[in-house]
Amino acid sequence: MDAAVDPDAMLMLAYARGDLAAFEALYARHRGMLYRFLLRSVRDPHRTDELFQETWSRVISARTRYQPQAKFSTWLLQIAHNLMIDSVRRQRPMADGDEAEIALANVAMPEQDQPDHTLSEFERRRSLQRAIEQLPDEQRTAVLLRLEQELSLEEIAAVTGAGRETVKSRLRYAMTRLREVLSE
Amino acid sequence: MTTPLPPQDPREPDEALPGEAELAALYRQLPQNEPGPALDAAVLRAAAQALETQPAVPVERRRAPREPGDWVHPKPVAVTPAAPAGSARKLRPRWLVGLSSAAALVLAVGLAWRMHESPRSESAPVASGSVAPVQAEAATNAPMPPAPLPAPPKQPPPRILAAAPHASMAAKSRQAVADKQAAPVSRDEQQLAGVAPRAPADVTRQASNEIATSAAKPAVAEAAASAPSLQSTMVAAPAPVAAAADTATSASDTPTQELDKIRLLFAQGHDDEARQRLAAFRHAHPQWELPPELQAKLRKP
Repeated sequence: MDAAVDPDAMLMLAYARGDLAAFEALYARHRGMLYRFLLRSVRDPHRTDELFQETWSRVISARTRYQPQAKFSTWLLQIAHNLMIDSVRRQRPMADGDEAEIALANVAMPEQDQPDHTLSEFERRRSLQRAIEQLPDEQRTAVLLRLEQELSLEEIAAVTGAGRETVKSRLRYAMTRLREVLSE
Repeated sequence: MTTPLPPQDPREPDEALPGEAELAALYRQLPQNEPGPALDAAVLRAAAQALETQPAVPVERRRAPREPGDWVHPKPVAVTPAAPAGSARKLRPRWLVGLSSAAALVLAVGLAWRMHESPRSESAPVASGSVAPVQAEAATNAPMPPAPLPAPPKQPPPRILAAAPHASMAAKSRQAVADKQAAPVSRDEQQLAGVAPRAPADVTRQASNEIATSAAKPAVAEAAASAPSLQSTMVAAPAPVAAAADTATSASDTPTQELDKIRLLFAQGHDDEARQRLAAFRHAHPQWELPPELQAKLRKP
């Protein structure tokens, strides 16, 4: 999507002019994907809540300086990624695998997606989830941005601050690892 | 030799990575976690409070026509917070403070100038128990009494004459000053004070006479102290004022009173003025037979 016709950018500009309804629409469009990106990156619900709220606080405070030179989602994820990196640096180690599994499993799921619906699907999703958690941080972030947000290589590079080829390499390694886990 | 590659469009869709479609489909089946209602409420409340505390200013649109797709890249001025409006709101009180300060300064200077000018131009008789201030006021700008006081025909000449040489010298030195001080007294002010308009010569004469009486203050004080009446004790020196008024020209004076004043002027040493008034009297009353001593004064150059 071109930033020139990004409806999210128009909503953000409208909010900068004082339109609260524009912010509510913008928030409704991005709240879920941002929350999932944070939750699957930090694997801690409490820290996820903190980072989620802090990310939107940065958006609110930066509304008057906002210039839609890129997609709003890219800008939003860039803020969240930077906050997450700072949080990781301040608070190591992150939750281990068991805690993360519990945290992710405690989240309510649709009834048709319950584990007893189909055991094979459940096992595949659980394997995928654990495989993503075990990826290195850079690869996990790139995979989440690619699979969750469906960002392009350039957009992932913009969010993470890495080069395009670096992002592409990370994605190749990560997806190869995920396919290996699923095929076991 | 290498052939340059065509420039790659950054917006060109990425090629799909191996196995990406399958992973994406499985990833979309993961639990769709979302923030809780409390978190949503906190974020929306923060957004609303930000607008309430600092209302966003409408983006200033450029007057120049935009290029296609340029609307998403407004100039920096377009997203600049509305400092002019806020600064104007802040400047307004400062401007008012400056204006009010200037007005107060002008008022203070005007009042000071007015008060500085008032002692010289306005007449303000001050009732005082001391002799000197009353006489000083009388010497500068005290209005003459509307009617001549019943001057005693037998004024104690020795005391006045004793002070006359000194008074005449002081009168000559202060003559110009008296003229200058008497000149600004307008006719309206004199009328407001209940004084008939007087000629400049009269004012000059009054000033000189009052200086003479001020020089004779010790003698007057003695006379006032020896006077048994209550009036003389309340008013410090009625006699010098009466003496000064005796020589002034008054329309209500009888010829005899005018001649007495002329005699008093001769006695005080104001020969020129006395001769002028004597000549004027002779012109006004040609049939009046002058006393021999005054006829001698009139003939003498």
